[in-house]
Amino acid sequence: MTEANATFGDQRARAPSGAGPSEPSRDALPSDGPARNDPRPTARWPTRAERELEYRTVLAELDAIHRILGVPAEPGALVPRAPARASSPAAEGVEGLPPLGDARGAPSPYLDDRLASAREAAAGISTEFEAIQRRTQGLGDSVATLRAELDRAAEELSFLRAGPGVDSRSGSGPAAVPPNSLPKGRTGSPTTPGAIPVGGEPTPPAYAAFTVARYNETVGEARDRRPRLFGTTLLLAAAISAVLVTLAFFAHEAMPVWWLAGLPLVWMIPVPFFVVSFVGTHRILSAGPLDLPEAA
Amino acid sequence: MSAPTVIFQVTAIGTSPRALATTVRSVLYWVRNTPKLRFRYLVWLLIEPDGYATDPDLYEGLRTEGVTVTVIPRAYRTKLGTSGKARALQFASEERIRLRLSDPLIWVYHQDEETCVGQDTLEGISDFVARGDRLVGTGVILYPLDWAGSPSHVQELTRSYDDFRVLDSMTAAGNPTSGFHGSHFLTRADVEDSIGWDARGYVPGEDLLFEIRVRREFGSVFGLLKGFAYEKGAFSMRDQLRQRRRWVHGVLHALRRSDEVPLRRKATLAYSALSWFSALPSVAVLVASVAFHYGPLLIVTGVFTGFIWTSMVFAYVEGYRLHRRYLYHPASWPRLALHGVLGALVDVLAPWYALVTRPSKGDFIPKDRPAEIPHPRPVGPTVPV
Repeated sequence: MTEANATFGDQRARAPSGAGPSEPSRDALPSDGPARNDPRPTARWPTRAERELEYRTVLAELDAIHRILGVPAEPGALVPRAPARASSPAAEGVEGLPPLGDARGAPSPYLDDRLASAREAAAGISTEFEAIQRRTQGLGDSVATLRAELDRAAEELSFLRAGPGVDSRSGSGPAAVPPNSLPKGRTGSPTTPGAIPVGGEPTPPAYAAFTVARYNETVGEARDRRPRLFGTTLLLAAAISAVLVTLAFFAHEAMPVWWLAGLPLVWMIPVPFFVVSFVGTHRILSAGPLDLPEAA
Repeated sequence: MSAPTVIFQVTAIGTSPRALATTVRSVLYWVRNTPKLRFRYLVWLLIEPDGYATDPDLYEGLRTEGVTVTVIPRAYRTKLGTSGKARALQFASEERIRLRLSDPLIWVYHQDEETCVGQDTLEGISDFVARGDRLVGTGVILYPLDWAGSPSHVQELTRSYDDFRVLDSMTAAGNPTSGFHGSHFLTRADVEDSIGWDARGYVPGEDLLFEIRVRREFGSVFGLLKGFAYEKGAFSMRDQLRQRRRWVHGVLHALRRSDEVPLRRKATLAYSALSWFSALPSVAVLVASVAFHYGPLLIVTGVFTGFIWTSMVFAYVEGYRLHRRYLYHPASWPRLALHGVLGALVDVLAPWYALVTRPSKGDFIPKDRPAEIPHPRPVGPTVPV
């Protein structure tokens, strides 16, 4: 709401409600919050000076809109024409009509209506302009995203060109491999981990949490725990074995029949496998080749 | 100069469309949210006609998102007539050759239908292809997707910790404990396509055969792939049993039918299999020792019992620690212990179950979360760890 509109609204609210038959209905005029809610009774018509001030303000507002839109103002087009003089002097003093007798004549009783129309048009223009601004803003955002993506693409390209290992390979390049295009409707920046997932699933998919950071934490923890795990395994294994052997020794069981003597072999079959697995697992973990550089 | 290209290849029947969609979207999501990757990418999804028929709209939707969805023609036959997953993999291999994508600068990252990637996976792949000194790489797989703490899920915790053993064995000469994966592995396309996946008849362990062939042809060219892959465990103990049965059948197939496996490798394979088979008799011996008072036997076995028990228990503990940052429902230790025992019993039974049953192509277990299992809240930075 512009200041001019507010003034106009306030003035309208102060206009008498019992206008003559030719007076346009005030209630039909565009509403303005503060004026409509003003409970005070209307007292009088605005004075000529007040009206002139108000008209100038409205005209200035219209000129400003024209300037914004880049349309050259047509001085005569929106200036209210000189109002026709009231046809009858008897109208002088009639409630709701301005007094007669002014040398330049009284303003048209339809001027309020015209102003209302002009104001409505101005409001429409203003709304349209805001919509254009919003669209322009969206366009600006898109352009900014485009620029950012181009920058990142250029960065990626430089990275690929400078990347180790790529150039050192022998053999000719592959046949033209079309890189997959982005899916329709994809949104979100490619470097934003929280971007909307492809396919528009309603909740973030589980795989969105599978990050390098989480991976490095996991393998780092496993590697850090390895020496303790190594020692604990051997100590615990020795303790359990000692208890079992002790129990068996002091049980003083009789020797079973001869063909059962081969049973321990069955039990011992996987032992080398477990030993090799144990050594291999600790070799991989201790070498620490699993870490990845954090994603940029 | 050309940057390498990584083909993210998801090979599946296609009857778990939601899991598949999540898998390929994880790739699309992270390639666009991970700056400075040293590769270009393609996403290939290979499914069977029956799988496509389960949800054509979803697969067409994936196509519009940039995924190359290929339905393996029913009429397609490989030269040697293999079937199952190996047939689909061979089709993809021939497709790459046809498209002139079988090249030292093209890499293939193999995913199962539920193999989601993270930022770390892509960084790991980027690092691997940039170094380029190894031809095949694999890494650690976690199983946090749809994790509900069931016995079959708890049992998967040990697989993740066991992956350190897998990595060590795979990168060693001869692969002494037979470590490899059927998913979350990266190969250079020209290497894979020169080896191929074709074989006579159905191969339950096509990944094992592939690893053996690569090692035979190229030597020890296996490297460590940094970054996790994120999968989901079997939803039930029955599915877990079927899955393990397929693995055992894969090993038995390599031992009995494949003339491509060198003798030395057969020996290591046989020992690995024997170790697994011995689990059930070991439990039986333990029970019998206590029940029938085989005290002298316990004196012999007891020396090693402590080490085996401790290793097994720590596999669960450390496996859980690897997962805990990725699980929304932290499990209590008593529950972990109980479900761990149940899950272990299934693994103990699995090889013997495989021995008395025939290989089945239906052993590829469902990966779409059943309706009765509630959808877990997504894991975010605020998840307590």
